Amino acid sequence: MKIPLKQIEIFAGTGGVGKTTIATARALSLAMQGQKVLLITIDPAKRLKQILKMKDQDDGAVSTISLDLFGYDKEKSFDAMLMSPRATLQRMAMERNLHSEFESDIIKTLSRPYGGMNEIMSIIEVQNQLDRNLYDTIILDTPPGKHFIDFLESSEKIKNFFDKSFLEIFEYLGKSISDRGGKTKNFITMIVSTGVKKLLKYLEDVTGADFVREFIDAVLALYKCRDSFLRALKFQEELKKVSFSNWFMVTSVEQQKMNEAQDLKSEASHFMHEDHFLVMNKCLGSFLKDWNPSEEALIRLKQSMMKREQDLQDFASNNFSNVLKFHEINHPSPLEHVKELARMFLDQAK
Amino acid sequence: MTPAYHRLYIFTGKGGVGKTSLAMAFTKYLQSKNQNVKYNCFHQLPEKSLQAELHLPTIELKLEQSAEVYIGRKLNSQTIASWIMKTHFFKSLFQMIPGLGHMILLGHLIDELEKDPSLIIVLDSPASGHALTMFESTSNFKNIFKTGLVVKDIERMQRFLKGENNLKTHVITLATELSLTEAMDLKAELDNNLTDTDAHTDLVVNDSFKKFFEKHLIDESVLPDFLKQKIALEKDIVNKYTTLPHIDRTSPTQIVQELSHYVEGLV
Repeated sequence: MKIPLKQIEIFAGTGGVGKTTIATARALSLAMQGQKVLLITIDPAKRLKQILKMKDQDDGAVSTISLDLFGYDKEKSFDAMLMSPRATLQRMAMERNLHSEFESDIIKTLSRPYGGMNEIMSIIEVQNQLDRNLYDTIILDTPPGKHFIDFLESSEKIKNFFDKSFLEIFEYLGKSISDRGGKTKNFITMIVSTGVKKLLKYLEDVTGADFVREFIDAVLALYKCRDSFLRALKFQEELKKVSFSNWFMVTSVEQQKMNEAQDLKSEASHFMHEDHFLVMNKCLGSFLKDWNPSEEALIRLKQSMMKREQDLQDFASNNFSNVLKFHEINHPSPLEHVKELARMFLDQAK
Repeated sequence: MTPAYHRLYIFTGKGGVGKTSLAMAFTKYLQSKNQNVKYNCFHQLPEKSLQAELHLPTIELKLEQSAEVYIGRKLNSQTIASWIMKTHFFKSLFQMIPGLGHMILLGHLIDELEKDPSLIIVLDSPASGHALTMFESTSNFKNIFKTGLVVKDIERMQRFLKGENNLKTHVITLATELSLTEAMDLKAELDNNLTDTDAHTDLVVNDSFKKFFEKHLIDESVLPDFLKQKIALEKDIVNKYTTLPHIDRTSPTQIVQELSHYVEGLV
């Protein structure tokens, strides 16, 4: 089955199925065919880093991986980037001369890798990379499971955040905010006078008075970047176009997580189109068919392995229009896994 | 002699290493020892049918309700708490800061443990990054909030987590070097976040084929190449840590039931 070339390719799936390795292999296979590719991973476990020998300081920066690393044509390469919410936020701050405002403890903490802004910043970064217009294909390795849905919903969160909650306060206060800049004490005084006084009082009991002040400060700083946030919404709409994106749902035979994959698929269906791919990773069928054990324990083992694969196969053909089967690789080096999977991607094209 | 159990067991690790099966099996094990144990799936969708088939004792908390109860306790008024939770300000706060929710859920579980001294909770934590979120969030929010009721509460939570025999964290890994490397990184980060000692966190190797063949007294030379390769990858890892065998079942219920016979070492 030929996989059409698209501007965006999204790899999603439950944890531990080999998503990052497969997304990297896909990048390699496209680069081998001469495509210009950017691979973005937002998987916090950073397996990609080990595979591609990337260092910590590369977080958030685009680095070029020569195919030399894989023993192939050294003239060819692909770009890779480890998503860093902090780096993306800093870029936004620089563009707007908001550097000092982004130094607050709250923003620093929130933009740490596990701080909670991962998904939102990723969607902004992807939009940014699309705008640069340097690549034939951008490959996105998404966070596992439920967090993939968070990623997709992040644009909705952005919209609600600016639309419903703060917008009304900001609009009420009007121009005075921008006139007064960072003088939040005045801002607090104004909010108090707008009738949310009681709420803030209780809030201060719970969180401490400084927090309310600093949080509003942080929100103001983010609010000044709202254009970037809102522009990223465009991305979500584009994703639904068949001509724009390939969606790959990755599963693994060794894991019986069909329910999770099913949930993921139905939750993601608001965001993706119907012409999607299911990847069955770590298939054993080709090894099992030539194995005829005589010991009882091994016969049972073989049967259970066959059944797991058949169950996933049934799930795949019932739910997905295109199914890709990749056999299990038992090799100590992750580099070999990437190479072998890339070969399997190339074989699909034949 | 009755073994000394911990109060809160956390099962964490990279996705797909078998956290849920192991956490459930361990709950079944403690139940068979007549302990007052409850399984909690934390911030994930509960696998209702599997839990029912296993007759698993559970404690379920919904984030928004949990937050309301939590804030209500802090303010001594559920009415004000429900009012606060309905405001856009707080809703936005929760949507933008998922870690805040994790912290409140953890705080709520610790409340339950302090209320009932016989209770043991087995927490099935979402994939690794997010177990870190949970622990990180306590110190993160302490830095953010600085003063107020939340900080007092965070200090209480940290006291509980550091208390003797209160917490045991199991980082689950598969029997491959790649998986083990990541598990060790996670263990180091957890140790770093929680305490200065590594007394709370253990590595557990799951789904080992080598162990499976040992159990069934299978001579490795009769195995086909792909299984020999699998075992070769496990060679240096298995038996260095607590190791659980591969289970040759296909139904999740049977897998959990069989696993529960091997988890005594995780107490």
